[in-house]
Amino acid sequence: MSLAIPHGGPGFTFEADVFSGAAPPAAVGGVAFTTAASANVDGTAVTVLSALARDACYLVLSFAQTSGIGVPPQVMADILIDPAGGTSWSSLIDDLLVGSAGNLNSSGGTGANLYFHFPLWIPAGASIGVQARRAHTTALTGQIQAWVYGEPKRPDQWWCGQKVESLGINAASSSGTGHVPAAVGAFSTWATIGTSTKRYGALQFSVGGTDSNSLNGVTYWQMGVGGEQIPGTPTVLTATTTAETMSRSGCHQPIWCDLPSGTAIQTRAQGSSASPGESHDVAFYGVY
Amino acid sequence: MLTAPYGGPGFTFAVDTFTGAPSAATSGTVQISGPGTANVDGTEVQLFSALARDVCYVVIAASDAFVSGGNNGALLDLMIDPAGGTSWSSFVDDLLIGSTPNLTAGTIGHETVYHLPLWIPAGASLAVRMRHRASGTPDARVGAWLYGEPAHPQLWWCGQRVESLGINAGTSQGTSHTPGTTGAYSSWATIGTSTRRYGALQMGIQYPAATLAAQGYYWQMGVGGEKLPGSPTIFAAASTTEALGKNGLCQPIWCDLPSGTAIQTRGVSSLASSPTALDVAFYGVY
Repeated sequence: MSLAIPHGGPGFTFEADVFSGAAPPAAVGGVAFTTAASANVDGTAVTVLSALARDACYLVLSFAQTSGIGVPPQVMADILIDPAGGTSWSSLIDDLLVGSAGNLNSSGGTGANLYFHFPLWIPAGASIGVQARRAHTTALTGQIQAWVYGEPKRPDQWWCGQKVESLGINAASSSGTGHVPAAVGAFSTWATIGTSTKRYGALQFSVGGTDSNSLNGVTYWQMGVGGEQIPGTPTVLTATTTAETMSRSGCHQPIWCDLPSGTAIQTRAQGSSASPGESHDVAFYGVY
Repeated sequence: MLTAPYGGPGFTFAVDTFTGAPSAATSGTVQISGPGTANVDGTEVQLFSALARDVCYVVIAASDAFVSGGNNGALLDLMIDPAGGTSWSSFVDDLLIGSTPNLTAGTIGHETVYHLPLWIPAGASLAVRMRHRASGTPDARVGAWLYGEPAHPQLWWCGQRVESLGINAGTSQGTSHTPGTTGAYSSWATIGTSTRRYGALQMGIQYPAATLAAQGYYWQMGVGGEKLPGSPTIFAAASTTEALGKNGLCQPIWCDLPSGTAIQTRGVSSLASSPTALDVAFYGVY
């Protein structure tokens, strides 16, 4: 089938990431950001990558250390850009649901990173930043990791967009759109999280907790259109703990798609408990 | 690059191991066990039976493959029966999965994930088996997602085989590499030399033994004493429970590496002295 195409796919020749230098941290990896000390107010923007040397066409993000025990777990991050390479930020991607991510450090926090994959054009010279808010009333310091890829040897092998539309967001409460997974044995009814106003070439999906007394549980999530799973999309697994952390498995790459403007994008879920699960926040991010 | 068709390859077929009812105890992934003897392959456990369509992208994730206070080296083989039965032959050999924490309810584990743009014919069945450096029957869990039938197949290269470099199957290990102490990477070290032309690469990292020190690491992949262009730096976090989290191994590393290429690694630890060596391996898709 696809073996007739050039060897090696797009073959990126440029990469930059936050793990620069030769002094890795023991405590946490990545760039720290802090939410405001008031609920649902953006914290101070921080630089993640400064003045990219080359154009980028693929942005991979992960988040860690965004959970708090016994407090509202919602955390929301904006990815910012200054095309001039400084710190005059404007928003590039709004309102990523990033709460409930566990720690990735050498004190036994070895996981629960939350990944996003955006095939997105970012011009050379631009700086990338982040700012975040949370639903709880005290400041939280989380971590963001970022990798950008660019200059593919075969640019005709890589589609990327220029903007991202966020669906299902309730920024005033740092939340997505609530969805309650069905009890074990059957998925919940498909529920629309938002309707696209652009034609999407790639999609991302995020799930966050809503409960400050989370239960241990595992949930399967699917993304859909027209009451059916979107062809070629994964089932995503989330695993929650009583410490209000959540692991996510299955959001491993850009969800390539061609969804027209006006598409109602849906989700459904099935939990591992015999009674309906806790409500979760859901959001979608469409690249166009 | 905006001239590429909208939406990239646009897979229209996907199948995964997350079918049926989720379980808090097992995360819905497939449980595999060591055979009771160290460094011997365990029994094959089927992941998929008679695929409905051709596949051109395999994502396979392992968790729960660590032993606190015990040996942690573990190798995973992906097996295939093209006829859809259970007459298994090896398809991808010796993926390093040791020291991978749990991903279950009540834990916050981190998976070891491999991205292999690889063609598998419709009708084939797939299985996994594990060997482990520890005796007894240590468990691991595997989840997998397969993608196929791209709307734009011209946007998706895939190979048909995988070559594994740096493997020491007799001890369920890769090739040991000691990172530099904080402030200076180790010298580039060759893990293996390709005997095929690779179109995509993956890197495996594990801790194989029983006394891991707490530290952070950076790891890089290289050719000719330089970082492979377009490849990520990987952050790894080690804990004294022998669990190793890895951050950055999250997509196919697209490349065009000719046969005869020495593929290298280097690393650096957060420790000022006595950094812990890790196992490294590479997997080239061709």
